Amino acid sequence: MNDCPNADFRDQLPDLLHERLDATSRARVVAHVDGCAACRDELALLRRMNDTLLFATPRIDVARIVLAIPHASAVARGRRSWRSWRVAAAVTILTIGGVSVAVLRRNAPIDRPIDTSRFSSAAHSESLLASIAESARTASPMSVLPAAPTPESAPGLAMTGRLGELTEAELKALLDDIEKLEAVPMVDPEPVGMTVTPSRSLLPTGV
Amino acid sequence: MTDAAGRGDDQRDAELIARWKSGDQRAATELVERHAGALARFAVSSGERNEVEELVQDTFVRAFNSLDGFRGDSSFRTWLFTIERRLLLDRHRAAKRQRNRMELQDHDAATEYNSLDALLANETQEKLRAVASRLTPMQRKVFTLRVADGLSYKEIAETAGTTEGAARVHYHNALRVVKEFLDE
Repeated sequence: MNDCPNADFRDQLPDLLHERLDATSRARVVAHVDGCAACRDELALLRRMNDTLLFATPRIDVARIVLAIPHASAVARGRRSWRSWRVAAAVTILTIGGVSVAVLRRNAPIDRPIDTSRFSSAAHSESLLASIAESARTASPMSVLPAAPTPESAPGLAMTGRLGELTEAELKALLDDIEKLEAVPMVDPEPVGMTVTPSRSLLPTGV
Repeated sequence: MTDAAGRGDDQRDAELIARWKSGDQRAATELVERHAGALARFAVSSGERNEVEELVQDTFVRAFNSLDGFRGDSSFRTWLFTIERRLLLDRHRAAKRQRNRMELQDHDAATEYNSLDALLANETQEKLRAVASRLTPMQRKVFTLRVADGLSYKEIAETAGTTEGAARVHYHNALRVVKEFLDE
């Protein structure tokens, strides 16, 4: 049996046999086969082989197989059940993980860089002194001291976290800052009712 | 180039799958009728001898249990072949462990088609059976998928676990062996 030299057409003979060619390709292949004895013989051989293979296919009891196939609703139920188990497992893992992280963070020292600007108070101290001096000059006796700095106005001393959470280095830096503050001359609040008399030299003439 | 019919088959399969999902069990019957024969042939061409129907049934049961995983990238039949191939591999591994079955090797080619003996009645078919025994397992598998099931080389590559180019070579080599045998 001879082979057609045109491999493309030979390649498409099984597709022609199973009617898997589009209309254009089918017309081209059929036209070729009509004029090519080798392709006609090969197509006939493929048809015989196909028949033989189909004949040799073991008989299958379709009804028996269908009985074994689950109903779609049962499959969906099984999938939902499995999905809910997976969700439950995921929630459990996340909960355990979250608690573990919280415990570790509470117990273990946190090695993070220290933001010394939070604790630096030199600049703040200077402004505080200037403020006090200005108040001493101008304010009433009851308002010698400036208002206590709020965290917003004095971010250097604002501690948002808990002391127990600070590392040793952070604590040291904080203590250093406090020492610097103590080195600054203190201006204690006067008892209520006391008046601060300004120096005569500071009074305007004629008082 | 190919596959006007193939696209029609795919569309019909998709309709039947949708019907089964909506609760129509008769759609399952039609799907089994459409593909059981091809799965049985594939099982035989892969060397399965005694439990073809069980294998086909297991393939369908597994497929219907995981139909949500079928995305339609390949045809439904190719997807079924892939499942069946995995089941076959599992069985062969189990058999290998138990040593109760013969291993499926290239040198077993002559014995793998014995299951067809009873089915091949007339002289022509007997001759073709003899041809089949000359093919390697991969040649026989590719040849069966191409000639009896009309799969494209791409589908054969997915099903048989090879490449399109290799599938084409296997097919033409098998065809050459068949022709040489018939010319003897």
